[in-house]
Formats: sequence, structure tokens, C-alpha cells
Amino acid sequence: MILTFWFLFSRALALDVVCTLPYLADTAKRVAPSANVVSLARGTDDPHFLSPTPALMAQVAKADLFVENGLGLELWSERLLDSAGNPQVRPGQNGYVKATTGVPVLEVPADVSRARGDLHAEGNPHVWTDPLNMKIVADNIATGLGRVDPSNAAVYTQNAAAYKKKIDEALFGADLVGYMGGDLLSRLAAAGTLDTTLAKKRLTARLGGWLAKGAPLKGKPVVFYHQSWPYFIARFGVKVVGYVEDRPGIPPTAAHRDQLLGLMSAQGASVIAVTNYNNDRVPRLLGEATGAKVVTVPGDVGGVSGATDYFSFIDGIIAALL
Amino acid sequence: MSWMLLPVLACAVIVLTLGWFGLHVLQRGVIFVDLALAQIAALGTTWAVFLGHEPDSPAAFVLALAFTLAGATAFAAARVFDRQVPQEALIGIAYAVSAAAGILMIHFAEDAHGGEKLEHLLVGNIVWVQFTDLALLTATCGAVGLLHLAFRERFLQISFRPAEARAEGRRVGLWDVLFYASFGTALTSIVSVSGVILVFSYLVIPAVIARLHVDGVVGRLVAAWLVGLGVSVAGVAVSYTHPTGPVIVVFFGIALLVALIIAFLRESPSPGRAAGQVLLAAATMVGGLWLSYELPAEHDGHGHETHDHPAPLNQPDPGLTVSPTPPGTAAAADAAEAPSGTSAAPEAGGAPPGTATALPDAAAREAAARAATTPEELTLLSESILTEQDSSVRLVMAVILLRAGHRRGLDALLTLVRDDLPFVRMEADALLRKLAGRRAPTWDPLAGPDTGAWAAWAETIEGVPIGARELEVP
Ligand SMILES: [Zn+2]
Repeated sequence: MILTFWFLFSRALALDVVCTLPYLADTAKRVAPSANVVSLARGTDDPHFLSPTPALMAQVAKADLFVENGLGLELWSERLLDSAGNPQVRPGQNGYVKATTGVPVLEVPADVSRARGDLHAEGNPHVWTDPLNMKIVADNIATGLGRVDPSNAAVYTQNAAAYKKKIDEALFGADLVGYMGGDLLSRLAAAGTLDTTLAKKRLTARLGGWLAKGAPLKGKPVVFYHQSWPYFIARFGVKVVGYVEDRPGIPPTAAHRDQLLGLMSAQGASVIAVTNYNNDRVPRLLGEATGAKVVTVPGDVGGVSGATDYFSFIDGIIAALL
Repeated sequence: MSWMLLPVLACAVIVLTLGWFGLHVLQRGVIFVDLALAQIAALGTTWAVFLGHEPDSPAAFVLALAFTLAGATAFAAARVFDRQVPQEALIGIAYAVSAAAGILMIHFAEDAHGGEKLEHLLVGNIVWVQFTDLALLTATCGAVGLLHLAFRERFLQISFRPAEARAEGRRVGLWDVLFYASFGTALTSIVSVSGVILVFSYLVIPAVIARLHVDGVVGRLVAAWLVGLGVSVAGVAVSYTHPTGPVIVVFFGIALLVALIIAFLRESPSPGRAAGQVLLAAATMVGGLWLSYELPAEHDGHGHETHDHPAPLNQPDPGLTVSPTPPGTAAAADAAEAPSGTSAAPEAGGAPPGTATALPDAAAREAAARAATTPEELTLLSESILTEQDSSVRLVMAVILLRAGHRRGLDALLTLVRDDLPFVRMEADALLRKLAGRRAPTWDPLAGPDTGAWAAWAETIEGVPIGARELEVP
């Protein structure tokens, strides 16, 4: 009886953190282990399109903190916020976090009209496939948590720092992080001078983690389905041969197909990567025509069965592309 | 041109099949039966996916066929209520309910692919047709075609003269079931190749054009086939760089428009006046289009309601995070004073400030340090090195200051050999070694922080000017 009461009491005290996407929820759980963290989309959902159900609305209605990716990815979140009737978590309020604030955005269009049928007018929002960006996301979430729960702000900052260290060690290897420090390594990686610097200092062999495991991906020709991978591509140096999807929502033309087939044979593309929520029918046809292997890559945490957290998520992408 | 071969052949099979069915469907007044049957077939495939089969497995095909046959039987039976309820109403209802059921089924299956799989069942792309697809399509439509060839009189009678068939004592209900079942079977294989919009156009438009201009079933059938084939070849031929299906459908629309104009001119009692009316209508349309084209377009005024967030820039403070080198040390000093860029309260109206992270911050501070050349900038740098948190940035600052002859650079290096990070100790030690030459102490920076070896050396050069101009910035 007392236990039940204590349980209810602690549940009531715990912060309700509602995230739009699984990777955000995974990060929020690490920054605030004691909060009730939920993700509105599942890893198997297409993050662009989610039908707002009353159940999702109820989650947002009782949220203390609402965390979204932003950058025009969740086209459904605004409607959800409108109907949830929770003024505390609307954009501009304390309970709202745009997790990608401060992330250097790629592919920002020069002119904002959607003439080319692009889904994303604010640049490419699929930022979470670059582990470096996760450090910014963790900071943003910690800041938001500190706003709605100031008494624990220091704890959140501390947890975010621990998580960022874990990301550094997963990306560069614990040995190199211990030697050079995660901040410097991140800065070099962000500037694109990590490889040359390591070579100059004769430290290349000490590089570990994802960058070492993914080293064979450098320059490897890969065909992707949707343009949701520029951040991963930039970090790991994958060579993009082309995209199966010409423009989102418009059937690819014969010219596009022939061009893609030509590029694939010219550059020897041996892998076609399809995000788990995309249809693999056309990629399979391309694979049959060229002998390339069609692999499913998780689009988010929980996208494939092995990707249970952010670390196994990146593991899964690298393993699929190798 | 070889890319055209398979799509054109597929179109030809579709034209031959749907041209025939189109005449029947128009006569029966069940224009939307193809949409309903296609949706019911898709529901069968979805059910198969729900049970765990792949959408293109034999099991899924059998289930799609079974659903289609059930739907066909239901449509045939619906003719009984024709007097109370038009058949088309029931067909529309079947379409809506099976579409909704498909969505719910995917919802319950929690299958991420589901939505796209269901969508693909109805959105096929004729450009991607493969030889095996074509073979299956030809086999299915060929079998249906043979059946209809063998019993063509009976099928024509029940579609065009049902009363006569009943009077002759034919089992109209049974023939209806056979008609819808064979139609559904052909549709199931056609839709997966071409998509549902193309199927609708192929079914209805050639038949409509044929009825406008030709009498007699055989004449209409041939006319429908010719129109269908002509539009298909033209559509595929010009569509290399455009989506093929939509091009064909638009060509069908143009063909119908031309056919309507010709029919209008022919039917009119005074052809001259009719031609004038057509020209006037055409001129009005072209003029209207030209006007709308010439009007200045409002790019950001309306239409994209989904983007109300005022966040075209992702940077909370461009001065801190944008990568190009800031012009002077002022930026570095500012940045050093507010390293986190965080404030407790959100700005009114705007999005709450995000945290500017150590990542771009430190990069900007380092870049500012490297750019420092004037005495003022260097003085500012010698101030900010005292508060700099990042030891690798401090390392760069120290060398810049040393090269300019600032003693604080040396002090910084002497603390950096006591840093926690082995790399920073190594770098600082290497730099100091260049300054000290042969008088450098024996000490291994990898073993641990310096306990005073370099400090002892520094005391020996107190007051001596140091020549650090040649020092390389790390
Ligand atoms: Zn996208």
C-alpha cells in the first residue's frame, strides 16, 4: 500500500519529457534518468509523416518538456502542439526545446520556394546520423531540462557531459580521447582536419571507435534511397553515387533510372542503402540489374531490431554499409 | 530507345485488356469499379502482409486474388438491388471501406513498411517494369482475354442487353460474377505494374472517345485500342526525363479534349459558328494561362502553412557559431566572457536559446587567436588566455603570444606541461624543447604531468629575452 503510494507519488513528481523521435528520447533518458521520457514516433515510423492520434495529444498535454528535432522534419508536430492545449510547451516557452539549435545545417536551399518539390525548406534535418551533432543535442536537452526543473540543472549538465564523453569515446576510441581530449578531437573532426592532424602527429593507429571501424567506408561508393544521410556521409566519408528517389513523392523517371544505372556501373557501387521505413522494391530491382547488395539501414534508434540505443544505432549503420 | 520497349509492350497488353473492359464498364455505368476492385486487391495483399508474408510472395498473390473474387461476387450480387440503390453507390462504399480497412490493418500490424507497401500497390511505375512483370502480366491478361474471346457473345449480352439475357433464361448472376472476377484478376496484375490512376485512364478514356465517334461494338473496340496504343507510345516516347505515368494520363486528357472538339464541330448544325466558339474558348483559356504565368508569384506569402516557426537560421547567435574566421580578437574576447552562451529565460517571442556548445565556441576562439596580429588584438589575447578553459586552444594562444614576444605565452606553456591531457603535455613540451635547445630538462611528458622540471628551467632564463619567432603554431 505504502509502496503503491510511493510509486504514484514519485511518478507524479517525475518530469514528463515528451520527445518527437526515438533518438531524442534516448538522449533525454541519459540526461534525465529519473524523468518519464516518451517518444511519439517509433523507430519504425517515417519521421516526416505521423498521424497525430488522441493518444499522442494526451502525451503532449501532460508534458513538462517537449523536445523536437525541428528544421521542418516533423511536419506533424505543430498540429499536435496546437491541439494538445499545453501552452507551457509551445515554441518560445520554457517547456519547448528545438534539439538541433546550434547544429551546423547542411543543404540549406539558396531560395526558399519548394520549386524542386523538396520536403525540407530549412536545410537537411536528418542531423542525428553524425555523432558529433548528438553532443549539441544533449546540451540543448540539458538546457531545456534545467529551465523546467532548475533545482536539478546541475545534475542535467553533469549527465549531458558524461553522455558527450561517451559519444567521444564511441566515435574516436577511449584511448585517443584519453590522450587528446574529446573537445579537440571533435573540433578537428568538425573542421575536417582530423585525419591529416593524426597523420602528422603519427597518431592514426591510435584512432578507435566508429571512425576506425568505419574507415573502409571512406570513398566507398554507395547508392542511398532518400537524401537523409548527408551528415553520416560527411562524417564517415562515404561516396554517394546517387539517390534512388529523384524527388520525394514524384515517381523516378526513366532518365533518372538510366543515369543511376550508368553511375553505379561506372563507379562500381556495390551497396544500395534503404532506410528501414522506405520501400525496398525499386532498390531491389536496381540490385538485380547491377548485382549490388541492398541493405536496410536504421533511420533512427529502434529502426531495426538491434538498434536499441544511439550507440547500437550507429553500430548498425556502419555494419550494414561495410 | 531500348528503354521504351518493355514499358510500351506493357502498355499494349494493358490497352488490349482494358479497352475491352472499358466498353463494358461504360455500358454498365460502373466507372469506378476498377478503383474499388484494385483497392480490394490491395486489401488482400495487406492482409497477407499482416499475416507475415512478403507483399510479392505467392501467398500474398493468392490472398489478393481471393479478396478480389469475393469483391467481384459482391458487386455481381449488388445488381439485385439496382432499383433501390445504384450499383455505383455500393462500389464507392466498397472502395472507401476497403481503403480504410487497409490503413487500420497496417496500423495494427505496426509494420513500418506497411504504409509504403500499401501505397505502392496502387502507385506502380510503368518505367520500372521488368521482364518477369511483363511475362506475368501477359499471362494473366492473356488467360482472361481467352476466356472473354470464347464467351464474347454471352459477356456482351449480359453487359449490353441484360433484359434479353434474362428473357432467354440465362443465369445473369453467374455471368456477372464471372465478368467481375475475370476483370478483377486482370486488374490485380495490371495495377501492380502501372498504378491505379493509369488504370482508370486506360479503362475509361479510350472507351469514351470510341463511343463519341464510332458505332458498333467491334468498331468501338478497335477505335479504343488504337487511341490507347497511340497515346501510350507517344506518352512513353516523350517521357524519358519526366514521370511516365502522369505524362500518359495528361496525353489521354488532351486526346479526349480533341475528340470532344471534333464531336462538337460535327454535331453542331452550323460548323462555322461552332468552330468560332471553339476558337474563342481556346483563346480564353490560353489567355488566362498566360495571364496567370505573367502575374508576379508570391513565393513566401501563402501556401506553406506548415512552416510558421520563425526559424530560418539554426544559429542562436551567429557571432558564436558560424564557422568563417571572425575578423578580430574582439569576437574572441566576447566569446571567452560568455563561453556557454546560455541564458536562463527564453527571449520573448523567439525560440528559447539553445546552448552554444563547446564545439563551435572553441573553434571560433581558436580561429580568432590565429588571426590576432595587431598589438591591440594581442593584448586582448593575453587577457583571454587566462580565462580560456580548453587547454588545446590555450596551446594555440600561447604560441601566438610567444611569437609576438609576449611573456604570458611562456607562462601558459609552463602550465600546459602540467595538463591532464597527454597530447597537450607532449605538444607544450615539444615547443618548450625548441626554445630551450640543449638546456631542456630530461622529462617524459607521457609519464604524467610535469612536477617542476620546466619551471626550474624557466627560472634560469628569467629576464632573458626569448627568440620564439620561428615557433610553429600547432
Ligand atoms: Zn527527409
